Amino acid sequence: MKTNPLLKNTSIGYKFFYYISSTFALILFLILWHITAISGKTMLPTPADTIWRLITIWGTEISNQPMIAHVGMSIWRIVSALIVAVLFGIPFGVAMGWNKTFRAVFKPIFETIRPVPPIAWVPLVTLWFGTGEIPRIIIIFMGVLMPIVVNSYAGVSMVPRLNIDVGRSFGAKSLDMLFDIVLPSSLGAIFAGVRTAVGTGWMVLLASEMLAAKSGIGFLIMQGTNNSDLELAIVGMVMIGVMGALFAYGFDYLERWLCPWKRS
Amino acid sequence: MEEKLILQAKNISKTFFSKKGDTEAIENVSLNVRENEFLVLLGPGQCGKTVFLNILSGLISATSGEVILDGKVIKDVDTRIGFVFQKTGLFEWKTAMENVELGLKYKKMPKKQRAENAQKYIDLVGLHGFENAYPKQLSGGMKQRVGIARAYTANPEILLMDEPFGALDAQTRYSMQEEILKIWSQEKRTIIFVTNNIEEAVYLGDRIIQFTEQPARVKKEYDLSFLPRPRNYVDEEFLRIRTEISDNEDLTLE
Repeated sequence: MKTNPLLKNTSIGYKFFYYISSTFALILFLILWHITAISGKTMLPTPADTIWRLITIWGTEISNQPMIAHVGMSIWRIVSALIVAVLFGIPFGVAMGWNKTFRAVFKPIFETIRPVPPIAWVPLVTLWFGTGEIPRIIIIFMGVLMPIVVNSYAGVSMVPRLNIDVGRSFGAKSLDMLFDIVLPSSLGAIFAGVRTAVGTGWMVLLASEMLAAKSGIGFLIMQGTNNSDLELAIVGMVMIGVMGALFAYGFDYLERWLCPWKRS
Repeated sequence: MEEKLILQAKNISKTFFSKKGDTEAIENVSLNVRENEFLVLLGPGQCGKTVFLNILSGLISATSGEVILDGKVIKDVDTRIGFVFQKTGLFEWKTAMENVELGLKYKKMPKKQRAENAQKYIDLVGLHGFENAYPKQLSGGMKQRVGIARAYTANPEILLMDEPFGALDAQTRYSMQEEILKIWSQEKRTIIFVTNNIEEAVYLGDRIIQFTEQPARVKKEYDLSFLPRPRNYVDEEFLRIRTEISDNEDLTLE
């Protein structure tokens, strides 16, 4: 990539340029948004109104629940589905990659269930568990489970041959091999799976909250739509963006904590 | 007086079978390894010498022939044989110390005891102060020092080294050659060292076994025990042997 020679990447000018350009893009985006809003041809609220709403909404109630309850509800749903999926999915994927017999028995079933979109489970799950929180979490669980299992499986089956050879020549027994070599080797892939799962999780969560729920960020967006309250819908969207970013930072932190050798 | 034989390879052949056709990598190689000698296996690139070393270690099995260690045929990996890998094979999630302790950990030695053992070899390879560094933080030469310390700490009778300095720059390579001889003279073990570098072979070996190009056969054996150590790369005798081996080497495009 070519860069302006005046902007040596160590110079203050270089940093200033990148700082300014990202701020500039953001300002441009807000200006275009504002112009679109005040043109009056759409129902779009202005950025200022939206930001004001985003601040004041924390002191108000939507459908008899404070904003924090809606956000908290969404987080609780996605986190509980994620925890169950991690607890079940990582051992399942690892076992499938590690043990031939386990793979022979479970891989065909798993490969058949995997392509079914989580939302397609709604009728079945509703039939068995009715409506409420448990079936919703089950559906989110189905969505987040797949990438976790797939990546754990791939991580374990793609452990470099060299690592296995080192283990063998230094006398690693089967359990040493699994816990001391194979699992640490595949930790990166497993983490990538959980990251992907979080993305899928938000999609399924939102879908489920927009379809049928009385709380949560997805519910806020639907509420905004139904009451022609676009501000509320946009506030919901912003909240998803903020939560997504927070989750991403959280996982970076977790990975650095669990994998000290990756810190530079 | 005949020295004690520690390892024997008898009529080792290896053929890789595949749908595209069979590849003969090693053809009927027999050799004897004496206790505590520095034996160099020299051959052109891709000639099958690494495959041969892997057979000695038990990591892969021969198509025919047998490996005899201390008078007994061995069929699988054996912790009496240590291995220094060309690509180091350090575990990036373990510190230098934890990597060096590996063999003892799998022998279930208590942590304190294995740390003491490991420390001795970490000091011997000159890595004192880097015990808690991760491989990522070490240079290529330092990584291979960890690899050597790791092999020594497992306390094997024989050390197999597969082009351990192949990936290093020339400067580091020379200093590592000197280093490995220093370690070997302090901690006598049998070393079987694979290389494609004739100068390195002449500098290091008590004996050199020269392989042909693929399929690998023993082409010639050179006894260099008459050449005093430390050897000098530009010594007249050194250069004469170097040229002799070089003239005898099969040419291959690597």
